[in-house]
Amino acid sequence: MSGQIANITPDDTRRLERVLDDVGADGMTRRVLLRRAAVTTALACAAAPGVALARATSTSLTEIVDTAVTAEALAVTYLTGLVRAASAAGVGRFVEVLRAANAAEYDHYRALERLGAKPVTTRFWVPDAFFEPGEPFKVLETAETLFVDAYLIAATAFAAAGKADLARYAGEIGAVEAQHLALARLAQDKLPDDRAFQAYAISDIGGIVAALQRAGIGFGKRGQGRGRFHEFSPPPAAALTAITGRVPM
Amino acid sequence: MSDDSLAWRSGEDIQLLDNALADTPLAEGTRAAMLRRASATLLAAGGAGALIAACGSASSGPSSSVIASATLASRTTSPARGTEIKRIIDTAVTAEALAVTYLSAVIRASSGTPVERFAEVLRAANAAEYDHYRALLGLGAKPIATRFWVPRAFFGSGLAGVFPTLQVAETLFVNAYLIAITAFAQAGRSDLVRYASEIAGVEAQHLALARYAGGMLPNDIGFAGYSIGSIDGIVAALERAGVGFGARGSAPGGFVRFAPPSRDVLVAVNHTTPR
Repeated sequence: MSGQIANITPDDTRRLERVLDDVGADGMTRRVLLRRAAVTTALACAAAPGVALARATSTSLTEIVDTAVTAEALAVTYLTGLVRAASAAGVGRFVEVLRAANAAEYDHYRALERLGAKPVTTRFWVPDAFFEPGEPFKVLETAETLFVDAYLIAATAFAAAGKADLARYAGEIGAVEAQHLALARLAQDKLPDDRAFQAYAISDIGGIVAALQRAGIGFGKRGQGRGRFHEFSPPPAAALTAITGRVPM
Repeated sequence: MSDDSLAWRSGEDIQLLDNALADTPLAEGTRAAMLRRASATLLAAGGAGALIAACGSASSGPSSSVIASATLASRTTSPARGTEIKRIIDTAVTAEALAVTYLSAVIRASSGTPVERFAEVLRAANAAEYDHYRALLGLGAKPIATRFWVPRAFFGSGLAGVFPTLQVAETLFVNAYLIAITAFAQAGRSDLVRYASEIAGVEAQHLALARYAGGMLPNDIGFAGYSIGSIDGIVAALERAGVGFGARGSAPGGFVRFAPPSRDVLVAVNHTTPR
């Protein structure tokens, strides 16, 4: 239970206040409860993004959207690199699919920015092996599985906060990430639609970050294994293709 | 409905209070008295079902969560919202029954046609749709019909109509689950929102694969489509495409009846239940 109160958001505090009004808690009880909630909320809100990324248990909405926009920046950075090196990386057959995926990820990035999300970092350590023939679609399968899970976390959190539009936006993005996952499997000659429900194996956003770090990614710092830093920038036209449905509805 | 219009929006408010109480040292008896008062308030606002839902949510096991969700689906704090949610899950389970019925027929007819190359993908899609059907039944959904009028054009010569049909159908199914996400979120049911999101992602995968099988760019969207904002709009779109739900449809075709799919039209898939 104490773990759950640590996840309380400002919206939760307001709801708690209304609940206490309705329950008729005496003054002392009410003050104790609200003070405790307020302190927890303040801690969650004050956490610097870098610190928030490292915290495995926090699920504040700000942390979720900041992590999501960071992941989208990472995706654009990696996909742009893959498209540019398509022949060397052995992904030429699917380059148009990769351009479309890149366009979608960049649209997600921009939509999240408009919602107030701020990337935790735009400088990523990417292992060199991620660009070697035979590796890119394995990498994408792992990454897209985590991204789908991240948007399931987001939809759950937005719904719990009473933000139905944001929950739907997360559903719209998560569905597109699921498409990318199926296509990454297809490109490896695996059964692409191998699941009945998208996997919700990780239930907190810090867990998603930790999983990416275990795969070798570094967020603003060196990651595991041989690699180098890549800086996010808006993708050039050559790394994109025209897609539809470019904003959430 | 705004957050301020009801003191108690859902069982999650009781969970919130319960969490706060558990984390805060209080005089003996205070916690029990407050939760009793909260439960009584919720009961008055939403009926016994909402209270059962609140208790199920607090116990937090997956099966109790499903039971709680099913209960709340029929009795929420707002009768109109409960009706809407019931309508959504009944329509969804009907659409899943339609999908299983159609895919089973396509797979059986695919031998020797260009569709045969994708038979394994279709078997996996069929298994997923049937798992959705069963999960929705478990949530208390009831099919509006299990007898469907399916236009002949959905099959076509050499099954040429299959992938164009699936593109239309899966686009509508994704849209339907986005409607569900929105309605469940408005009702404060974050667990149902996630289940709907888990299904929507799978339907979106089927859409991409139908496009790929049809020789089109499979991932042509940045955001999954939400062009229809009501579940009745989804039904109307399927009817305009020629489908009949327990009645003749608008295009030449025939009736087919839903039945649990046989093994030969399925393949093993993962993640067969929502989390």
